[in-house]
Amino acid sequence: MRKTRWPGTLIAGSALLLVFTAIAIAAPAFGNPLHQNLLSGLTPSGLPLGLSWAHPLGTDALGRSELARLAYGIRTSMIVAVVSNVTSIAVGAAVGLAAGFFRGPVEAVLMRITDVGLALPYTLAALVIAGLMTAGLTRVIVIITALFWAYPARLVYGEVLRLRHRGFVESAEAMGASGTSIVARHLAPHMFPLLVTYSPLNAASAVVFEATLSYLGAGINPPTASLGNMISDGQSALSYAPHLLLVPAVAILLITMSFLLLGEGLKARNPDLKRVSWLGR
Amino acid sequence: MSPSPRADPGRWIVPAPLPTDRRGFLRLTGAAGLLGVVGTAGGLAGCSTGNAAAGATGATSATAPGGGARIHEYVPGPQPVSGGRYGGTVNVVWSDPPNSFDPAVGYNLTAWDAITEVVFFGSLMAYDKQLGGPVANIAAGPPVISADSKTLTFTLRKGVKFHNGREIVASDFIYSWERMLAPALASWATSYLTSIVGANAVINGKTKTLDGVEAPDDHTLVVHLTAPDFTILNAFALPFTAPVPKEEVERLGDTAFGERPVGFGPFRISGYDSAGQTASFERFDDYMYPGLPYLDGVSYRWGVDPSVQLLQLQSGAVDLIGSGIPSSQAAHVLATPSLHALTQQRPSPGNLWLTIYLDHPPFNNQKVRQALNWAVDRAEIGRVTYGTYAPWGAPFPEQIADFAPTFKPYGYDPAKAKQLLAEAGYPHGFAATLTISSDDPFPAIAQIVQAQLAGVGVRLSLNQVSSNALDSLEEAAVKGGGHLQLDADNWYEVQPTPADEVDALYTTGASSNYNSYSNSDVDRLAAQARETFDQTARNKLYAQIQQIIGEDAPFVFLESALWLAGVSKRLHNYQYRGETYTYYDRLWV
Amino acid sequence: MARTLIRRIAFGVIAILGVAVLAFLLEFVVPGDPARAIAPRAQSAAVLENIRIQLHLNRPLIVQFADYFGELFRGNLGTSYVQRQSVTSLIMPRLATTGWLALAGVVAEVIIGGALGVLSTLYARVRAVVAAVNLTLLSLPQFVVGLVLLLIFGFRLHLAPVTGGAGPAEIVLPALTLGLVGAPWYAQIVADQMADSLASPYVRTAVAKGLPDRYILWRHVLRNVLSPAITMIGMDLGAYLSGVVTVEVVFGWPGIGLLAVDSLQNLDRPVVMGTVIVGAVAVVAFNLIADVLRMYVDPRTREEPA
Repeated sequence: MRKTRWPGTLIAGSALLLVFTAIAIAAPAFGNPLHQNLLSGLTPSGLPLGLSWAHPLGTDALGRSELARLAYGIRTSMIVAVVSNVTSIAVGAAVGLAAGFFRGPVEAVLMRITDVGLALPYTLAALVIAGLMTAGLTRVIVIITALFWAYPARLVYGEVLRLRHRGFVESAEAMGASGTSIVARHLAPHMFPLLVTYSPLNAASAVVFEATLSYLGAGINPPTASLGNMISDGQSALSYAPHLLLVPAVAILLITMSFLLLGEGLKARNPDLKRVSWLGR
Repeated sequence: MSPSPRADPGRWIVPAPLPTDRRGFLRLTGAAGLLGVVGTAGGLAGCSTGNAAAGATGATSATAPGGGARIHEYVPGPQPVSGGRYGGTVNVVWSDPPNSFDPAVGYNLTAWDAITEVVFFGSLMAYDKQLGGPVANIAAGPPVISADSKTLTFTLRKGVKFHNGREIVASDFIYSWERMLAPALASWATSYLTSIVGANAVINGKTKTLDGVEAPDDHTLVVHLTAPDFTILNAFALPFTAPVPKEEVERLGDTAFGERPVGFGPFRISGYDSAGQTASFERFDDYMYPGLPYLDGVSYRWGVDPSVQLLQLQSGAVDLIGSGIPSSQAAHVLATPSLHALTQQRPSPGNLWLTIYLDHPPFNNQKVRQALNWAVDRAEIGRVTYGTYAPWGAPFPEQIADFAPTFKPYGYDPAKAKQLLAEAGYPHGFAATLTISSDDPFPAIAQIVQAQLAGVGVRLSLNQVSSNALDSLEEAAVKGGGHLQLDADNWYEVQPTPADEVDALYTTGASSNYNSYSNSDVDRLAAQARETFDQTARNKLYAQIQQIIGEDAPFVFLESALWLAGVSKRLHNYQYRGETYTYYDRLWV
Repeated sequence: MARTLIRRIAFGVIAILGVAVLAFLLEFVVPGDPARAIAPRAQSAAVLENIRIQLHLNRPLIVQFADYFGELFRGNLGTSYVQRQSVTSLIMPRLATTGWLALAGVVAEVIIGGALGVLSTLYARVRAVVAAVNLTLLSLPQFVVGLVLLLIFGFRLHLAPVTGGAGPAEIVLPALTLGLVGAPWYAQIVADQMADSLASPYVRTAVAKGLPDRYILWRHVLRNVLSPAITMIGMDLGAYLSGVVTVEVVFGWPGIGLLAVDSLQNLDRPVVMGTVIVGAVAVVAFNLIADVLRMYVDPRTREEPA
């Protein structure tokens, strides 16, 4: 395959992500997502308003500006995408590195724990954990970290083993390098391309999972705006206010797509890494 | 098709006006956002098309002049009963599966509907009319009450049969109550019978015999109370005191009996579908009220999402939405004319309020609490509950039979609220946390209240938790922990009398008195009322209690509940009571 | 190969136990009192206390733990707090119902994904279109796809039943949802493997020998596709069986996922534990079966990686 520096997918993905990041940062400029206009924001019979100049994306069931809620929902999704991505990969990489480097009982225990992590039914475990914490961004990040670390751990572990097979570790040890320095200088740098290629997929999954959690009521609850709980609210209003469902749904679609495009673009830049199985969930 | 009604002149039962009132609230867990408010007073018209008097010429087996069957006997419950056509089945749809059809154990909506009116029908007594108290049911007439009001003697009707054909006798009641009180069954309702002599001993497992009840012969039942307690008559109208046949319970075992109950109501259970999602009930031909029921059968289908339930109602796949239309769907219903035509309002006595936790400032100041009550615009809440609640700024539901209130309900007066706050020492308001469960309609109402209270300087932050977590916090609050400041609750009556709320929420140490409200006058009046069998005299006492509680304002009284039913055009004479749900015996298609 | 298998089974059992222990501990930390969930109208603390005693909730955590796992090793999952019947009898029918959905979903995603993959490999003109379709499908959360399908085909067009039942008519939309969401993964596998094998020396030789196209596709290409596909199918079946919660919630499909959600709500711990354990068993078992099948089909994978 021809190796391009800037494949189309990479450009498209990055551009979209820039737009969303800009919206996320500038969210307050779109209005107040919490302010209820029970008089001016609803029809006389109490139903939400559709699109208009005053309310470019209409209002929701409590008269709040849908545009403002969308902006804040995007902000939430972007924060989740970045933070939980970093935390889950960090935890996973640490476990994978430790297991691969130390071998022996440490490896066995860590890999069994990873097996448990992979055997957990995602949504159920999320619902159970959700019962333990108060609703909000922290809860979502904790849940995602707790559920998403196992796969990167496996990936990193596999990569460490591969490097061992190629003698990286042995030769470093023969040169007299100490344990931590081996990990830090000889193993870890090899993980970066792997993890960088994996993270957009991870981020996309995190965004989707947060939306699912909030939809099920186990993530971020109203009045805080999240794309997931906006979809949940919009579902019951579908017959008379379809924009309440469509707007957040399209937003999720585009955010997730932009991460995936980025991931595709990164892979296209470096075809060697295509062997990274994207059999990840 | 179905047997014609037998006219039995010997069975005229004149409803005796009971000297006792019925009170009691039943608190339901928030599921499905139940609503119940009295839209119009007294008996409401049946369904959308005319019933008995309309001369239904299309009657399939009309036996009385003027069309529609005539039921000669008086049947307790919302009237009318006569005028129906025989035949047909009704499909009812629910969200949740019944937890059990065992009348001593069933408590969720699906189960309650079946054990109050389908497989069983009341017990010794049954509630009468739309708002009335208990009248004779299996009992042939009102009980003879001794001079000290501690002994009640019931004479039973003859010939009331269980579904297995055996006649119900007095000893069946003793067996059933001993079974219900026994700790092994873990019934939730044991405390309703604690005023019977010897009940506590059974509850504590010290004995299996209930000493305070005797059956001198098959048709006489004598109940001894430890102290006069009118609410026992309400308990005798509720399913957990219903008689169950000992031979069937022993043959089936408790678990199977909960799935295949043997009762005495207008329908018997005929089976389930293979997926275990539908229960079918068929007509019981030997029902105690001859001529009823009209229907051949009823079927319950559960596990259906509320929005899908509405769709099924519209398409005719189901005839009745079992748990009513929740507030989350009410807007959709309002906006869809074809659905709007399928809704009916019924009274369903209940309340919704914010509980104020009284142990810490500023909430230990009565002026602050009153200020909160004046600061809320209840009508504005109505804009987003779409007619599923009615504004009501006072304790107790809005409609109570034979009740003359003196307390004037709170309204919306932010100026007065600010003035009271200033007088209490909070001219700039204060900050507080409102904890709510995530069940409908609490999140929406909480958001509105938050915005409204901000207008008088009270800055609320909302904390939404699962309803189970909220229960835990409330229980912890009673013991001094939990750190709740404000939360939102609702309550639904199982007895049409303020006693239920008073004895559960407002008396010192009451079971659901989570904010530890304590007022000795309320306690004294409540104890006195409980011993008063005369309804008018008793309700005067409750009016006094309402006045005290209203002024004391341990709650921010918000709404009185409304029941919005989803009823297909096919159904006639849809009758419903908040305490006992849908009356299928008088329903026809 | 036998040693590998035994090791894998042993690890699987350990994983299941680990999940069970974790679920047990989590369930007990969740705030809420099951007795209150059962007796919301209880009028006195004594009633609640009695219920707690009957449910053995008043015993110390260690004792309850020992009780539960003791019963578990005997194959007894306990009794539901709410429904008063054995957890196994509650779960098994629901598991079967979810099983049908899982099967239908896998069939759907293999067909849709396979078609997309083959199309994109054999016909260069549609490659971009297929890529766009894949991307869109990957970007949509499961519940959004389900909702959209429900709204269009159920509510608007009235083509599909929305009764919330579990019959052949009702399985179409939920299975289609799973199929659409999972298709891109299969499309990717099929496209990759087809591309690889079509470029391989074996195929070049076969073409040079003048063998028919279909024969080549069948013998050389399919075998290569089967191996990763089987792994993925195993993972999917396991994942779906352990509770496709969102799809079941959206469509009201009475499966094990919906049972778990309801039980969580009611603090019916034995049922929640039961569904989690059954789910973990499903995941481990199907992954194992898939691995065995794969090793059988593709001898190159018989060597266990370190």
